Amino acid sequence: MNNHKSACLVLIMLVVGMLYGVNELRNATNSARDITAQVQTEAETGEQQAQLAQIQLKSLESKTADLRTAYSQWQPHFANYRSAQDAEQRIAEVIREGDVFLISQKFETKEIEKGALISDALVADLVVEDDYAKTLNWLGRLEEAIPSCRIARCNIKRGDRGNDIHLELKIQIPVLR
Amino acid sequence: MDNIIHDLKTERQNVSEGLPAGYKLVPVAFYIISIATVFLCLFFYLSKKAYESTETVMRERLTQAQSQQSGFVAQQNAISAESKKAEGIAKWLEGSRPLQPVTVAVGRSMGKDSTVAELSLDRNPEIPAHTFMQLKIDGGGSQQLEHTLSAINALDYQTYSAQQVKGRNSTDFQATLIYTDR
Repeated sequence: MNNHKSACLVLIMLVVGMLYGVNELRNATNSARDITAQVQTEAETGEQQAQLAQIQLKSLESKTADLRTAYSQWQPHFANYRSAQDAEQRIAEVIREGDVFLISQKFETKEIEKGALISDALVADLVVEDDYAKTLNWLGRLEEAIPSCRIARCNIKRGDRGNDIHLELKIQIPVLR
Repeated sequence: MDNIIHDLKTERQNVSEGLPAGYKLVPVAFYIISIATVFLCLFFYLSKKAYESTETVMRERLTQAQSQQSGFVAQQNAISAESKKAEGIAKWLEGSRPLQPVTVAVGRSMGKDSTVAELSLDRNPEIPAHTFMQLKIDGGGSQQLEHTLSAINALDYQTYSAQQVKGRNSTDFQATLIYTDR
């Protein structure tokens, strides 16, 4: 091989080297382009999902607005009774304030619905005998004083004396723990 | 062509034969490819940098979008949890409508010749919004009962499964009361 041919060989090798280098750079560029396109797709999808989540949030907010407003108004009444003792004490206060003649009272804590938000309640069995108007007014005040209470049973009969009535009540007061 | 090729060697006497004609294309190709390589490398380098820059921007957008989505989903979960609690309380309240107005309405509906002998209101344990009413009225007859039921209806309660038994001087009535929101 003479010098010219050696020089040609060197040039060919340099050409091959340059082509290889350019090709590598092209591949790297293509790879960067593909990655960018993929990330762009992910970003656009992510933005669409974020928009969808925002729409769903607004929809959920508007759908449940009334319910949540009612909840915010009623929740404090339920939150007042964190234990059966709180509820029992409140009933005792209402009886004392009403000044009605209490014949008997019985309190027990009962499971209303397992796993539900309101799972336990204080159940009060009260027997009251007093003047008709006074007793019914007291019953109204009881329901007003404990808005979260549920009167499960209300039995009214004539009392032993003239204008008296005999009132048997079964009251449930939800206890939120 | 000879000048171009001669650029590759110093000034000296040829010690070997010149290249065949075909081989002369090699240095030409070398020059062309060298120039093309410079431009292509510049082009690809700039393109790569542009793509990398775009990728960084897209990743920031993706992170921001994911962060926003997480925030919205967290708010949705909070609202759902609150709604679930609200439903529980609403369900309880639905079965806790005050009964005192019913007792007062029944009492006030009595005429001159009628009295309430017994009034019993029991909530259905399964459906507390349904209240089973048993009423015994002394005197008055059917007219009095109609008057009493009108008073109850005025409180937005409807009577279902009503039964009435008339005695000599008394009327036994029972029905399920269901509140109807008008």
